[in-house]
Amino acid sequence: MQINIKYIKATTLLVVALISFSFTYPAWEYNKRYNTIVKDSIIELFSTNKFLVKDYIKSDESFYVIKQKDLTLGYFVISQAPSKFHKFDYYIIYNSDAEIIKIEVLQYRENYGAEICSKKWLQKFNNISTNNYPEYNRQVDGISGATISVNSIKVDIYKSSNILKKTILAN
Amino acid sequence: MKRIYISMLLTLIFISVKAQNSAEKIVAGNSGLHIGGYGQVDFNLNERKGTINNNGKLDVHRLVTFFGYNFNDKVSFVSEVEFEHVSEVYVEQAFLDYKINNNFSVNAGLMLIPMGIQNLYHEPPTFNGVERTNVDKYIIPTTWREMGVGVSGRSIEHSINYQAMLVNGFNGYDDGGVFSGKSGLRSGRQKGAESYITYPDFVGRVSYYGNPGLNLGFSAYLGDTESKAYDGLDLSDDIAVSSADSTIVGIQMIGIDARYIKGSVQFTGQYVIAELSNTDQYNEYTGKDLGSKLTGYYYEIGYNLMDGIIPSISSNNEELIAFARYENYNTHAETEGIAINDAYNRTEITLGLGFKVAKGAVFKADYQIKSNSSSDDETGQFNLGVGVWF
Repeated sequence: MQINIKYIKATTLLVVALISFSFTYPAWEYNKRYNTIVKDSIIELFSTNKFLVKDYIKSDESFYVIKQKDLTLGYFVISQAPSKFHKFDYYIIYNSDAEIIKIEVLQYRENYGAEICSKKWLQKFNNISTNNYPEYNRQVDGISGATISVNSIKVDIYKSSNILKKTILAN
Repeated sequence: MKRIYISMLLTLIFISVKAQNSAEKIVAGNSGLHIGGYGQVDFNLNERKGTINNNGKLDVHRLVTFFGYNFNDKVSFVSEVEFEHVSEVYVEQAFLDYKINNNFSVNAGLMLIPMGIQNLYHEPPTFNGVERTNVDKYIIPTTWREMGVGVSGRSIEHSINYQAMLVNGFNGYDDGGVFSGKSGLRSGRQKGAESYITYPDFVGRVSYYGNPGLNLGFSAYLGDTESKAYDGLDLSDDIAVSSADSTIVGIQMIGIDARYIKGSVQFTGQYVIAELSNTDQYNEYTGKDLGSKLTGYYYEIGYNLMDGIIPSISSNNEELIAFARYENYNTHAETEGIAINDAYNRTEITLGLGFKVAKGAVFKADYQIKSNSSSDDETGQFNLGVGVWF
């Protein structure tokens, strides 16, 4: 009996390990705070808590696809862009047409320029056209005292959005 | 048991492989050394008065090198070494910043006094005009930095940034009086060079950015100036204490400022008032003419001419900002025991252009019309400058 229990324990552990292998374990799982914030946003935006997150594009930024069974609800990316001397972390959630539906700064480290974390300001990127930079650039006003971070996040959002669009088209 | 070990080993390998993912790097934060700086090189020419000639002045006004080190995500050290007019060397900032959490830090060392716009945002590409505004020279003595401890933080939810500090006050009296009617408190800055202190002064600033495009600031400074007459003072000697008391000045300074950007239009405005107490005794004891109330304000409007309004010079990477500014600063708004000197009530109108050839590089040109209340005379000054920030 003693031996049997050991085998049961071992088998259980192995099964658990195998199950965890079979699921995608995206890196964003490693930061619990980021994970919770992004998950909560997905639940709110798509009005469901039944979804799966899978790796989508592996590049400098990590893109993920949000799935419900075979249906693609949307995508998100966790990205990092420079302010003056630090980098800040933020995420973008896209709908299934790769249109921005939410941006939020996860961590802002610099003493200056935190104005870019303003929800009202970030909302201006929702559904913004990222076809050409000058037009895109003009649609969002700058912020006094946060010029560097404003430009940095603008460029980064533009870049990410176009990487995603290209990949979706290619698939 | 073997299988248990194998599965544990596999899990470990799995985690370690995953740890190299790009998103994991984000979590690791960013540590390391950062080098930067800013500089301002000017040419100033005062207009000829009748037949009296004025020479032009060419000056490497400021060259500041920034060295910052991020020990980790929470701890960083910021330092700026400034060369002023080539030969004067100062340390402009030298403080340790410890982030207790994401939105709250404790700072200690030599720090910028959070008063008004330009004392905090003084890198040349961030302001219009070759020279800083004189409100931010004679009323707020930029670059105003002193030694102390402080907290800084923000509430992203409420769109608020704040700073509060306890710092040493101005040096108001060493061998004699330091302040003057003409330049107010400016000469009293201790700048962290063997600064001395009797009691700390308080300064705080709150800024609100809840409406997109608008940034509102409110700053307050409360305290007394320092005096060397207190060093070694026998507190039981009433006469000595009384004369030492005559060498300090109480300061209540309040600043409000607004910056607004909408499309190609930018608006900046600032108002500062400093109420000084004990100036009658200070002036009598030191023979100085310090005012008891200092006021200053400016408002400025700017427009980026390269936004497409003139198709032939339209650009996305460059900006050509035309601006106009009205400024008044008065170091004798009120006096105690001495006559008001109207020459200290000064007005300037500045018209100029700033050609931003890159995000951190600008060529500047402006013309200033300067006058004061003591006469109807106006003098013109022409300025050219180069400003960089990297």
